Amino acid sequence: MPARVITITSGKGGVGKTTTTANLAIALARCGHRVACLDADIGLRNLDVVLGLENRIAYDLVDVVEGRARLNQALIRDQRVPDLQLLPAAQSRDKTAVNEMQMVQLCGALQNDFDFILIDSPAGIEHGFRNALAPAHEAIIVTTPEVSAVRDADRIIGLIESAQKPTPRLIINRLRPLMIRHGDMLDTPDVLEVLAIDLIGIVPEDEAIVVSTNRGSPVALQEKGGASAAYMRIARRLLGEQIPFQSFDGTTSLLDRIARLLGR
Amino acid sequence: MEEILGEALANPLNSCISFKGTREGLHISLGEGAWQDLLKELAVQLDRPGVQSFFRGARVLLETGNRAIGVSELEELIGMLAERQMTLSTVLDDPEAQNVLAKMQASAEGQAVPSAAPQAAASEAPPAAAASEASPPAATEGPAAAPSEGAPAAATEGAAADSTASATKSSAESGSAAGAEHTPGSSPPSEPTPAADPSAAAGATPEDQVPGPGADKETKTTALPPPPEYLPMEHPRNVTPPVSFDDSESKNDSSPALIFRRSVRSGQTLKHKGTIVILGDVHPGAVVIAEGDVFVWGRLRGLVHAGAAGNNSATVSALTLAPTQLRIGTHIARAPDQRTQHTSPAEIARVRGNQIVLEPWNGGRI
Repeated sequence: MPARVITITSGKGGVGKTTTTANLAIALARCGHRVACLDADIGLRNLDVVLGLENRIAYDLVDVVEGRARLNQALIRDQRVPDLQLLPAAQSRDKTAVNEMQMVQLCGALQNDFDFILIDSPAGIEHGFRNALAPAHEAIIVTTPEVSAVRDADRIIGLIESAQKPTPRLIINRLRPLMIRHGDMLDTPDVLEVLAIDLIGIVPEDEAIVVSTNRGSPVALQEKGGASAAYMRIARRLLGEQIPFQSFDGTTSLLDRIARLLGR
Repeated sequence: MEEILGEALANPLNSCISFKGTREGLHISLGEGAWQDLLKELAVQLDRPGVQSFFRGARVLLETGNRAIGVSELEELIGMLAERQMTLSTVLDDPEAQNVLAKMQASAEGQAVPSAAPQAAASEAPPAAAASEASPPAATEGPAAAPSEGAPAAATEGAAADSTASATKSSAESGSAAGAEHTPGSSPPSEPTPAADPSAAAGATPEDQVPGPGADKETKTTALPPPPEYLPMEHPRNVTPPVSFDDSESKNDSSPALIFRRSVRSGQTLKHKGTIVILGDVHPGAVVIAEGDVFVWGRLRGLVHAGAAGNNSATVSALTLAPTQLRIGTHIARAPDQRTQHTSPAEIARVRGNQIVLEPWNGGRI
C-alpha cells in the first residue's frame, strides 16, 4: 500500500510544527510503521536538529531534486528508531529551489518504501507552504491556544480546502491547564468553536520538550511524560484507533464537553 | 526506486511547461516551442510515476502562451488528457479556442442531458430575455455546487485560488456563449472573478470613525458621505458588465441570491451582486460583500457589507450576530466591545435613522 502523505502545517510560526513532526514520526515508527520525514522548510532547516541527526547529513532534499544525489544517499536512518528516516532540507538555498511538481514526484518515489511520509511545512502561506501541501493526502494543523495562532490556522484551513484537499485535522499544542482553569487561556472548545474541524490531539505544555529539543532527543522516544503520551495517542488516532481525549483541566471530561459542543 | 527518481529529475520541470494546482483545477501553462514537442513533453510529465495517479480526474485550465490553437490541436490535447482521465475545462488566454471548447462541451453535455436544463432557464427568465441577457439561473435552482456555478459575481478569494484577469475574461465569454448557444445549466463552471484586495478595503475604514463601547443593542454609526473607496471597483458603472444586471432601485432582487453552503474562513472573500445566504459561519477575518441582504445561518463574526452598491435599506441577519465590523449601504459600524448575552434565536441589523441598529429577530415583524 502506498504511503499516506501527511503535511503538518500551521500558518503561524513557532507553534510547534517541527517538534510535532519529529515526535509524531517517532511515535508512528515505534508503532512499527515505516516513516519518512521530509523537511520542506528549505533555508531554515530544523527537523534534523530536533531529531538529533544534524551531524549525519550528507545530501539534502534539493540535492535529490536537482539530481546530485540519489534518494537513498540522502535519507538518514535514525539509529534509535530504525523505521524512521529523514530527508533533510537544504540550508544554503531558499524555498524557490523546489517546485510543487518536484515535491509530488519526490513523494511518488518514496511512497512504495514507506507507510507514512510526514512533511514539515514552513510557516506562512507562500511558496514553501504550497510546496509542502502539493503532495499531501491529508494535513494536520498545529495551533496553540492563542487568538493569533487560531486566526492563522483558520486561514490555512481555508487555503487547504481551496486546494481541494480533505479538511485537515487539528492538534492543539502547548496547552496550559492551570491557565485555562484560571480563565487566562483559550480552552479546547473555544478553539474548536472557531475552527470547526476535527481534533486529533491535545499536547500539554511540557518543559521536557524544551530539554529534549535542545538535546536532539524528542520526548516521544521516552516511555513516560505528558507530552510523550500525548504524541503516542495522536499516532494511534492517525492509525484509526478511537482514543478518548484526555482532560487536562481536571474538571469535566474534555470529551464530554466536545461532544456537547458538537451537539452529540 | 532511485532509477525512477533519477530519470524523473534528470529533466528539470521548469523547462517549458508549468503546472499549478488551483481551486478550479490543474493550471497548465505552455511556454515556447512547437506544438507537437510540447504535447510530447506534457505527456512525459504527466506519465511520471506518482504524478499520474495524482492528477487522475483533474480538470485542466490551459494557458496557451500567445499561441493560436486550432480545432485539431485542441482535439489532440483533449484526447491525450482523456487517456489520463483528465478533462480540459477552460482555455484561459485564447478566446477562440475557448469558444470551440465550449461548443464541444455543450455538444457533449447536450447528449447526456437532453432537456432538463431548458426548463430551468425558462422559469428563471422570459425566453426573449434569456438569449440577450444571458442571465444565470438562480443559485437556488442549482445542486449543492450552486455557489460557483450560478453566480458569476461571487468569488471566494484565497491565495491558492489563482484567479487572474484572464480567467475572468474567459468566464465572461464562456458565460455569454452559454446563454446564446445552449442553456446556462450546461455551461462550464464559471471562474470566480478576482476579488479586490481585502487589505485595501480594510484600510479604507479607520476605526476611529466609530464611537467607542457602551452601546449595547444599539451601535452608533457615522454616516459616510460617499461610499467607501473600493465600491466603484466592485461595481464598474462605466464599463458594460459582461452579464447585464439591473440594480436600479428595484429592491434587492436584481440578481439571484447566492447560497453558500459552507463557512467562510479567515482571508476568504465572498462577493455577490445580490443577496447572499450562507449556511455556515463567517469566521473572524473573513469578508462578505453583497449588493443585497446578507443572511447567515450560523455565527457571523467577520466583516459584512450589505447593500454594497449604496443600498441603505439592506439588512444583515444571523443566528449570532457578532461581526468585527458591519457595513450597510453607506453606513459603517463596529460591534460593541461587550455584548450582553442575547437570548433571541436570531438577530437582524438594519439602518434606522442614521445609524445601524441590531435587533432581536421578532418573527418577521420588520
